[in-house]
Amino acid sequence: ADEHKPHSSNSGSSAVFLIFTHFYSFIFMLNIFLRTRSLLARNESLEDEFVRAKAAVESDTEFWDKMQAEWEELARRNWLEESETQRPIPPTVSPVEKGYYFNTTNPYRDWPNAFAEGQDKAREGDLNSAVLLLEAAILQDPQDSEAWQVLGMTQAENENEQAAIVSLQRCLELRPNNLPALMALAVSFTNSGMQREACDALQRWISHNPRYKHLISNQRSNTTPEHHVCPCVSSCRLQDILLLFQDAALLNLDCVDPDLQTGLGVLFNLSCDFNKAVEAFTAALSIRPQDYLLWNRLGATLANGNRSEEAVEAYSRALELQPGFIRSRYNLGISCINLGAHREAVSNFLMALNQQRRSQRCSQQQMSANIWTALRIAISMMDRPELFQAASVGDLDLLMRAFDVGDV
Amino acid sequence: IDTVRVVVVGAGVIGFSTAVCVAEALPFCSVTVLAEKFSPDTTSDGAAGILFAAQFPDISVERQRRWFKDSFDHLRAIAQSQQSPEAGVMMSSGYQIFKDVPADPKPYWSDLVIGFRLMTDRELERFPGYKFGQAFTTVKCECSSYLPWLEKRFRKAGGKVQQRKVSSLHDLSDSYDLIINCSGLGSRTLTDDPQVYPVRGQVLKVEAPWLQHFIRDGDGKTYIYPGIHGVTVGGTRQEDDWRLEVDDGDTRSILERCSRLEPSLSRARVLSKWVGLRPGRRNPRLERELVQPRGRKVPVVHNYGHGGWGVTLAWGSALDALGLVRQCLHEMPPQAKL
Repeated sequence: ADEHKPHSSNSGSSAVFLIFTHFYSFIFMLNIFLRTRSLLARNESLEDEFVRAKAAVESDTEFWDKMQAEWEELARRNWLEESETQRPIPPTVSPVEKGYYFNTTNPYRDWPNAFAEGQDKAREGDLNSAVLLLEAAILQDPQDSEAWQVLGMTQAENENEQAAIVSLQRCLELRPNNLPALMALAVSFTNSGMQREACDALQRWISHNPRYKHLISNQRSNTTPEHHVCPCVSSCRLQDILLLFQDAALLNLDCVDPDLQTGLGVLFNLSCDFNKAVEAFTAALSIRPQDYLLWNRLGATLANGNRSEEAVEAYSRALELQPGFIRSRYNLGISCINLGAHREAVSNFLMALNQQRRSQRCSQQQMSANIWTALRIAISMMDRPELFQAASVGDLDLLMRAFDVGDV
Repeated sequence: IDTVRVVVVGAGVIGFSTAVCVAEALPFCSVTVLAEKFSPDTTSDGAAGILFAAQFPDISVERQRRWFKDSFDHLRAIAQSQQSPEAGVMMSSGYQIFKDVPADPKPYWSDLVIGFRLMTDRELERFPGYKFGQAFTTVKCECSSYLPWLEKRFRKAGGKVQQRKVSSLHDLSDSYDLIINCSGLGSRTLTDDPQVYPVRGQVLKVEAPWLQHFIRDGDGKTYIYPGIHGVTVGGTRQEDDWRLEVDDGDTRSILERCSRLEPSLSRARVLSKWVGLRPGRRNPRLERELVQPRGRKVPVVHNYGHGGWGVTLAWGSALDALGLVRQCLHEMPPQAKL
């Protein structure tokens, strides 16, 4: 999916003709609108234009087909996130350790104190160095569950969900009662549309939490899916876990447990009850106002509940606290698309990609495929086919110059 | 987890055509056909499957022409390939005859079939009482072979098949990301659509290998369709009649009416009798909708209500449905990440 041949033609004004053949998506309509507008401005006869468009259409089809493919790619990614497994493994990377792909050229391979330094880098927001240091720590001691945990959470911040999931699962194999890892895993599963797995992780979070685990035995056998007669097993299960978390919240009448509220926020996201999810994350933020992860979760919830403008504020807060937070910048770009601010969207995606490669100049592998996809979509909405081509071949430098995005 | 989970409800000719189109065109979708009944027990299985159509009142002729043309070209290519006997698709020539000159003597599909012309007086001589007729060559698609052939093609494209009765589309929203409803008459309860109603049709299969041409009375109630395994003779068009049992009165009436058109039929041995309920509707429903049963929004693409023209329009409307599926995918907004 990430291979894009450059399209050979100048795309001409073929949209007028295309309307008769493709009318799948609004992107076509948008382009037709833009092109018609410029056409009228040039005061050309429609008939002439039509004839030229018809002639141009054959060489142009490839461009539109690719745009189409791009949309389908995005649609696919919405459900699944990264399907890293389907991509050929880059030659510089070798598969080790349960599907986690380590960087093979790691300058910190034998670094002493790799874990502590990796943690520091993550805190500073230098996510790429953090990933390399944490990977080095793991290669030095593959049983270091804490290194796996921090690596997983860093990969999520770095907008690499699949790597995050694998790392957190590995961490939990080594230490099943690691509560932050369970919560982070539930978040990653939620982002990947894996409702059942997310529910499992949250149930395990309760069952390993000394404050709440008694609630599981109280709930009787109620939470095991086998006992349900209704065909909607997963959604009943979601309701069960939600009730479990709400029961837990009732134990804290005089105080707020921000982690429990985070779990509730995730669950309300899973049931698409975005307003309640906003309440939960806001409650958590009242205790931890400096937690940039929470600000981003609040933002994403607002965005998914069609409140993009408020989302932008929340993301901005997250990015103020942690300028290197790639995921939040990606989210900000998505909200810009939804608000019709395509140029701002492109700038944010470019900034995120540039940050991802910065600390490791020659490596493409840490740039997120889905940020590239989102970037191509934003550019495709700007009616700039020559830049779309640059995005298709992954020419970051050219795009940064074209959009005047400086080296941050 | 690396796919968009699509479910197609219904395993008749509309369901399987749509399932094949989606599975082949969108390889990142994992498509499941889910139905209570499969071939040979679907309504499509009894259809004579001859390609021509009446015109629906509220759908543009252009769109109906596209459905017809796409279906015709698709089936004609099969009929003229090595696949023809296995797929149960063949070319067939014959007449449609009328007691009075119809309002539209040249139907919208007349230039889409092959060699369409009006019958000459000499040709009409053998049908006393009939004043007008059309002669043409079209395709005949027999679903008892075509549905298994489609299923094979569907499985080859990675499709999965599951037999179970679905009582509500909402129940599917937990397990699938996109629902395609091809449940025909089942949509009456499945989507609460009171506009779908049964149009009962009874047909007989007779042994009359000497008959080579189809004959259809323009009123749609009497027809003779020579096929690969016997000749299908019919029929009835009983609206809001839910009886699935063979009616002996109908059997007698069919044989009598058909023998009037083709006297040799009174000597033919009856091989089988069959009743089906066509999914009648003023217009077929081919559109998308969002259902939101418990928070989660799931797009539904409806493709049902083709009446007696399901086989005729299946491939074309499946391609239309595929376009709607694409639209649904495109309009899923990019998801923000927690």
